[in-house]
Amino acid sequence: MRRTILPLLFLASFSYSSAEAYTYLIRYEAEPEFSRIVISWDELRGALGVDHMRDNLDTYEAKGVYDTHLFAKKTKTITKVENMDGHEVKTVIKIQYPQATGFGGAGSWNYVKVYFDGALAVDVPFGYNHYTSITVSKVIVYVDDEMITATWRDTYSTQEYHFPSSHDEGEVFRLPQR
Amino acid sequence: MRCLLLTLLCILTAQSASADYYTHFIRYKAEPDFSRIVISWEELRGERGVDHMHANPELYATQGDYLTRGQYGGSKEITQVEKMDGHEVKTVITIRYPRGHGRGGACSWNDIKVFFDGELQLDSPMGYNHRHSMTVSKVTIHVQDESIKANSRDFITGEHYHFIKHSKGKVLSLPKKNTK
Repeated sequence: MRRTILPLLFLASFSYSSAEAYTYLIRYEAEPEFSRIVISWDELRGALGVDHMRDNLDTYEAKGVYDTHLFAKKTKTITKVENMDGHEVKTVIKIQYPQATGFGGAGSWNYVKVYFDGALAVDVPFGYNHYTSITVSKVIVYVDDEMITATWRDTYSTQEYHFPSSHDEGEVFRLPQR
Repeated sequence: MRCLLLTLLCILTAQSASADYYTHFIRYKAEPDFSRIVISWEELRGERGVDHMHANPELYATQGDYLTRGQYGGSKEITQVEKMDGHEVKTVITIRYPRGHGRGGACSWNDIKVFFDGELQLDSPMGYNHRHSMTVSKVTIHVQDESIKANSRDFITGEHYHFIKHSKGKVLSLPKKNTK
């Protein structure tokens, strides 16, 4: 009897569990027609998109899209240089892949440095940073305007998830939340 | 003499004044490879980029970049339908162009609605909203994952502007601290 109950219990438990498939990307895009460079932190969710990314890492890296959640790799440094409207903009992106040794080891540690005409202008953590508990989601360099914006959020505010089918049946996702 | 002085003063004042040159647009991007749709609020700054965008709004609209300024009054409704991984996602973006009547009339008022398999799932302002003093900067629909994510920030936090010309060697670092 015990032998029957235990496998049944095991099966029942796992029929309700499903792993969350997600990964994070850093996207580097130079837009010379708009005289700007955009570095953004992007999330992919769902097995289909994540698997597609993992199967085509090199193709996407050639397009400036970098997966930050590759386990068993240590670090990667990407250097991009653009000459735009009489200025040189050098961007250095450093990705320290998840090490899984605790203290935020499940996430990657990423940094962005921007040198504008040779002088360091931006030095920020990028994406979610466990140490500072903030997520820097976008850095935009407006080259002709000689100006840079950085968008960030803390852990408690400004990002909401909505799951229409599984958790939020019938509810409409409205902002501002009420 | 007085006339000469006044003229000189006027010229000197105008010399050091410069208008802030910027515009905003909404970008709609379907990424079937990643099974997602991304709608983002984008800013352009500087004469070259802004003038280029204002000179080619129709061209960029065909690529999914919808200018929210550059004209006064009127509105525009954009409907995009995607069929992806067995689901239908309809996105309706409404842009109400600046009217210039005060109370936020200098800005556009934009809204977004997302219907997932025919049902309304998201109803939100998009970009800066004067009434709520908030900016919804990004909406991501993860189609296969059947989830929607929205990023917003209030008017005080969440975005730093760094003017290289005026930075005097200071570096933009986050969390906010001056490194020089």
